[in-house]
Amino acid sequence: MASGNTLCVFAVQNNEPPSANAATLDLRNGHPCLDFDDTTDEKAIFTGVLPRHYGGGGITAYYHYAMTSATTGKVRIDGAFERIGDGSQDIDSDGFAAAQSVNVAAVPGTSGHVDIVSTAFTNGAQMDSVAAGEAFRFSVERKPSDGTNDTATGDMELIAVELKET
Amino acid sequence: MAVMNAADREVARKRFLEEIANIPAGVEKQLGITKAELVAAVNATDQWISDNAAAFNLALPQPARGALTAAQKTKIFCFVAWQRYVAGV
Repeated sequence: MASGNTLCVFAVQNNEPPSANAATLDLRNGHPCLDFDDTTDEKAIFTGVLPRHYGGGGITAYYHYAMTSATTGKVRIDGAFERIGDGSQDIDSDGFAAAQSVNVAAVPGTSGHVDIVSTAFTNGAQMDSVAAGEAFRFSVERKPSDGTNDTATGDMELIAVELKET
Repeated sequence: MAVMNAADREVARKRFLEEIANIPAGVEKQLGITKAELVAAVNATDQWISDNAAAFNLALPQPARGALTAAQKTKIFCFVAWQRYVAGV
C-alpha cells in the first residue's frame, strides 16, 4: 500500500482533551462534533499507531468540518504530530513537531455543509519522524488568534480527521 | 447612560451565538457576516441603547417611569423585544 491510501481515521469520540483550551464535544442533529471557539485557540488530540503499510511518502491530513452558523469568512486549522514511538518520547511531557496550517479561504455558504480541507506533512521532521508501527499523537487546533486567516464567527465543528499517505 | 466595556460586549456576542447555535436548522441559523462584522453590530447596538436610553425612559408612562428601577426598565425593554421576536412581529 502506498500513496493515496488511508492510514488512520479519527472520530471525534477519540479526542483526548488537553488540560487547557480543549475543543468541546457537542451534538449537531445527532452528529458528534468537536466545537472550536472563534476567540480562543482550542485543540483536540488523537492517538494512533502508524500502520505497517506506511511507505514513507509523507502524510496528508484531511479535516472534515462545518461551521455552527457562519456562512462567510475564513478559518485556519493547524495540525501537528508527536512521535511516541519506542523510547522516543517521555510521555510526561509534550513533544509535538511544528504545526502545519491550512488556511481555508472561505467557509461553506451553508453552515450545515461539511467542508473537507487538507494539509500535507512531509516524511521526517514535519511528522516528528513517526515511523510505521509507532504510536503517535496528532493535534488539531483552530487559530482564531490569527486574525488575518481566521475571521469566521462562531464555532467551527470538527466532524472527523483522516490521515492519508500523500 | 454608559456603554458596556469590551468584556461585557463579548459576553453579549457569545450569548447571541449560543442562541443561534440552538436553532435546529433554516435561514435563522445562517450568519452571513464575519466575526469582526458581528462585533461591530453588537457594539453599534450597545451604543444605540446608550444613546436612546433617555428617550425610552420618557416613552414610559407614569407611574411606571417614576416607580420602576433602572434595572426593571431594562428588563421590560428586553422582554418586550424578545417576545416581539418570538411572536414574529
